[in-house]
Amino acid sequence: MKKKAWLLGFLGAGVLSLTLAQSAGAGFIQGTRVRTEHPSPFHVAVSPDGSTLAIANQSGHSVTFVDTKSRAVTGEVPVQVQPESSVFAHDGRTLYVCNAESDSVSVVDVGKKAVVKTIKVGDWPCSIKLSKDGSKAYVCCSGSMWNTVDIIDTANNSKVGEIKTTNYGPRDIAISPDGKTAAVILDTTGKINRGVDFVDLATGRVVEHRNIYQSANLRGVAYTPDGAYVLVTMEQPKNWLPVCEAENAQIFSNNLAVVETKAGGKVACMPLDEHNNYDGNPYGLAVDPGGKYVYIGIRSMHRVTILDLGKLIDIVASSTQEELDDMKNDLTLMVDYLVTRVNVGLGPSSVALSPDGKICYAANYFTNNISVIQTPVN
Amino acid sequence: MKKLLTLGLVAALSLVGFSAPMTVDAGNAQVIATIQTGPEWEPLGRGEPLTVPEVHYRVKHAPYQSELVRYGQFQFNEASWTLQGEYSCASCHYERGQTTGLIWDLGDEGWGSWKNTKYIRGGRYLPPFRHEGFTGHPDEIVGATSSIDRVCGRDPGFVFRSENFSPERLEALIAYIRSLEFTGSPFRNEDGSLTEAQKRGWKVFSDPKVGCIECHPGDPKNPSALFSDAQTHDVGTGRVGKDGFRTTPGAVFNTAALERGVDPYGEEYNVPIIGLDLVKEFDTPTLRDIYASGTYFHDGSAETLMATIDNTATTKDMHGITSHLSKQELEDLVEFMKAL
Repeated sequence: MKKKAWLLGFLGAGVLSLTLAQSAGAGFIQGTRVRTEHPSPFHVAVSPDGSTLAIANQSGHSVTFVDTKSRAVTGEVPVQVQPESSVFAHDGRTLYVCNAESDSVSVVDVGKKAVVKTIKVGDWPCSIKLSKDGSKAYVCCSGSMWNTVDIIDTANNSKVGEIKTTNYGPRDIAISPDGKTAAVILDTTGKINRGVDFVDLATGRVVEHRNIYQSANLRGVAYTPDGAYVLVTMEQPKNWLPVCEAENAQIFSNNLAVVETKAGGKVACMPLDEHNNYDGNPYGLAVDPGGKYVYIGIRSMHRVTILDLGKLIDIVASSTQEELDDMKNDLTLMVDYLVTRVNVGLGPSSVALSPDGKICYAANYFTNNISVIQTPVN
Repeated sequence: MKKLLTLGLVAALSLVGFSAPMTVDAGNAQVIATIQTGPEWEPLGRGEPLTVPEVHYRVKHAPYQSELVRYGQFQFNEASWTLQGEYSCASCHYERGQTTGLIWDLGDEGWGSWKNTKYIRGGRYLPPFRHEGFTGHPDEIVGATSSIDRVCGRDPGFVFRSENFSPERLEALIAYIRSLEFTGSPFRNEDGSLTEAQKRGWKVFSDPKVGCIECHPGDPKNPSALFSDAQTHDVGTGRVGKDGFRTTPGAVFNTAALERGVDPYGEEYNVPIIGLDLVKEFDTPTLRDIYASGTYFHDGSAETLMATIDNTATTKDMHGITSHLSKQELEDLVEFMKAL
């Protein structure tokens, strides 16, 4: 019996390797396409009922499912190369997974733990979100010379269109609470002023682009529950200055952009750094459904930073644009809206909340695990 | 009894009053469990701060399959060892080992000589490693080591303001960087063949009268071709003009713009105006993954591939002989480059 199981496992691994080799296609040696023993969880998604986690393993080329009640792994499904994001369908039965290096989206039957379809999309799909009614999935194709958000019809799981963004590198998308608008962040290589496209989802057209001045490495975007602001994790490079000193954020600072959604609204870049304590490389973020807190995975400092969203928004709402421009390098400001920083595993790239906002999950890339955080809401 | 109850209520309310902010704000937020979904892993010990090792390391590894590479990847994405945790290698070179395409004045070649952040995927195939090619030792490992030493290690962590790399860290970082492979173009046909526009572009590219292939030799059918002669050339960039301001035609990087009152450090410009490069010859970059490695030229003065060949960012006909080409031919040339 043991021998048979071993043989089956061996054959399974062979088939998986062949599948991955084929999906890698012709060309140069593809180093990152080598499957490693480290799954490297890059993204975590929570099912609508909160019972299941789906973890996209960037180096494991797979999705791991976890039962949130028992906190046990319930299965692992091989997908294509370098999965970087996933989203559950509203009924929780289907999972859509972005395979960044394969330029595809895997449709996974959650019950059967199997890929039922693979959909070809644009270059380097790295983020996927559902429309409010769940009928469409929007896929950010973030390639360096690519500017589309591809649209998948979830009824027949096929690509039905695309939204052209105003520049290359759409990195993440958030759908407004009323379901009418999407905010797409553009992490365009070479641009020092990157920004947000606001898209009218009925027409698929960009209705406004808003610059976030002096920004780079835009990583995550989320709406506040009232739809009045979008929040964007970012870094602020000071590359117009000679690199003379690193102190006091003279080379990089790490910020959370707060962008008013009304046309022509304010754009603030609120510091996440304090003196001698910087939040290096802020990544994924999640907003508490009650609108009280925002959670940010700080990938290079191995912690989740929790902010008081009310206090943060108060500062933005009560300040002029000129005052906000002065604040973005103020390292004394963070204490006004910082709730706490929670140390987690190494390399938290993504955070997700349970539907009631009481638990925050952080996907830790390097330690191959998920930190379960009790939130202040609890 | 009633008095005691009142006292108890007051005491309880006071306690709540004092403890509530702590409980709601910070006290409650904590890790209550960890779900292991793969092998447990922890990085190598930091090691004591050391001077840069005299001996360079010849790294042997299978890409992404050694612990050394894993540790190097961790370090590449790690900010806690840099001053105050401000940034990591990935802040400029992306977590995918690519580039943010931003230019920086690192000062190690003299202040005022901004350099484009290099795309480091596939970099191991192409020493020398700096734009000027002055780490051009024939042994690529030595070259890579020297480059990292120079920027990050030898000059007390010049960029990172950290302690120097320990030998283990340096070796691991180099192993990781060496493991980064090209991604391949998404712009070819499904079967990997060239599109019609790309075929036309290849014809222009390989035309000796245009001269691209002279410094960027290669065949698009050969998956190992690098499209670089690994030499340095003056292609009409990096000019030092009147008063030390760049006189490259195009954009706003000239004295006329200054006289018009343009603020070279204004938010609307990606590139400061001063260009004080000490040399005019720069390393020929590979054209592999060129679609992903913008901005272009050593100083990032070309924002697009078109700007590298249409004579707007270089002295006329110094970066290939292209001034006689039609708009269609230039566009085909761009399409061909995107296919590499």
